[in-house]
Amino acid sequence: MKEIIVVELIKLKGSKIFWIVILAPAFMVLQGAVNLLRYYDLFTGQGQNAWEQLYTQSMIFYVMILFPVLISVVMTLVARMENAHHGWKQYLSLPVKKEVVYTIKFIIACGVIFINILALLISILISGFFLGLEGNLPWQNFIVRPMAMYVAALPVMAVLYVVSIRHKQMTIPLGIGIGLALPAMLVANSKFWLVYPWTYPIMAALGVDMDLFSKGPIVYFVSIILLIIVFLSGSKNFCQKDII
Amino acid sequence: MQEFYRLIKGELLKQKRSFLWPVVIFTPLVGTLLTFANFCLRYDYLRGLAAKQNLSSWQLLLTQHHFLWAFFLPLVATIVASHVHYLEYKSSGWKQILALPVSRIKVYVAKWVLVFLLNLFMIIENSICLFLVGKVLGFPEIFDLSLFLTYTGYQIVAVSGLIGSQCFLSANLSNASVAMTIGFVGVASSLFFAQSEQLAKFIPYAHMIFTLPDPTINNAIALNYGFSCGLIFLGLGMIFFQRKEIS
Repeated sequence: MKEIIVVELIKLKGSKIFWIVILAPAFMVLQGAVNLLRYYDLFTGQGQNAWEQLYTQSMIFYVMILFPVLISVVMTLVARMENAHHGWKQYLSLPVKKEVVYTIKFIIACGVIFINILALLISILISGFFLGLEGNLPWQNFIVRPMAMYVAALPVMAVLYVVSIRHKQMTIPLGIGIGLALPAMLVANSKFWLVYPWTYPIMAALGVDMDLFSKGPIVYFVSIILLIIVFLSGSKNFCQKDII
Repeated sequence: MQEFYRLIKGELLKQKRSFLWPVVIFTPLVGTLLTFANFCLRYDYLRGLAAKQNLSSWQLLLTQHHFLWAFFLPLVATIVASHVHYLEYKSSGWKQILALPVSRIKVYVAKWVLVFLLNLFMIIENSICLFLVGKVLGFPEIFDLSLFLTYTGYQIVAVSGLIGSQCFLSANLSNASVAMTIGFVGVASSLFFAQSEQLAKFIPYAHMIFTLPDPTINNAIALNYGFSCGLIFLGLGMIFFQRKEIS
């Protein structure tokens, strides 16, 4: 098992995926910081905490557009390493269990997305200190909300992982990922957000203070249940599937 | 010309069994269905909004739809550009295609034209679907053809800058994910860029936002700079592709 993890990490090393997941959120934070600087009086004029404003400015477009799209990119990349050049045939001819490979690949993909969130948080911290923001850093919200966003995004990751592994063409998971991510911008503003898991990360990252997010605990419970269902059905399907 | 036509035909053949066609066909459908759902759920509120802002129903439809479409189209355009070029990287196709007696410029332009045609298809389909949405909802005003033609035309010009930059990136970066991520980050930041007209002029990802025919929006950015960026990136792409080493 340890060997499989090491092998998977070596495969990812040359794929530039780590650059992607680190630089993409850093750029969004840079944009948020510039926006805060530009409208500083407007955003903090009524005594708002400047750190909170930096968080919100960096997070709005990140969580609504970039985060779900990046999940699609990461899942596609992880699956593409085997889908291209008949990699599954070579991989599974080795004495490894299909379900172990499937699980480790998913865990590593989720780990890469976690790095993406860490990169976002570190970028916010660096830009906040660089801007010399006043006020206390709201540590609890600052850490809890992105972590909640990560948990809330687990079903999205599982669905896109299953689709990426199942289909060799990279346009399928990417198309589905984007096609399902954009409606979330509209649905998140409606009372139907609870039935659409793509809105969960948005609500977890931005909706903590909103009345709509009073159902927060249910979301995490539903997310975990959905993750288990989607992952297990995907794993079963993968183990039963013939590799041609 | 015959040779160029054959190249484009070859590009279309390569995409015959790819999932690109469903993506291109379903993108405008999904976008307009969402707008339709938005209108169905909030029709009375939106009618009130239109009356308050002195907008016709057709103008309101475009305004509501544009917020979603200005992100949706560039994101899918990014995937289309990456996929068309990725096919060659995946199967070492560049070697085979460039071993043929055709100029590199023609190969590059053929791919650009294919990406442009697919985007053109999406833009026109989107306008037709919006027209149908208006008809199904039974808008009281007569269909505003000139408004729709203007909107469609602006998008066609504006998207050329985005296509130019994404084709340039996709042709020169062997890792499709990098080219796509640059595009996705650009699109995600487009609204931020659009806040400053000076900055937005030079960012092709922001041009789509300026395509809504509305007196408060500076359409000249989409028209002048979209077209200029399209030409500049097409030219740059041809130069870089001609010098590119195929290994």
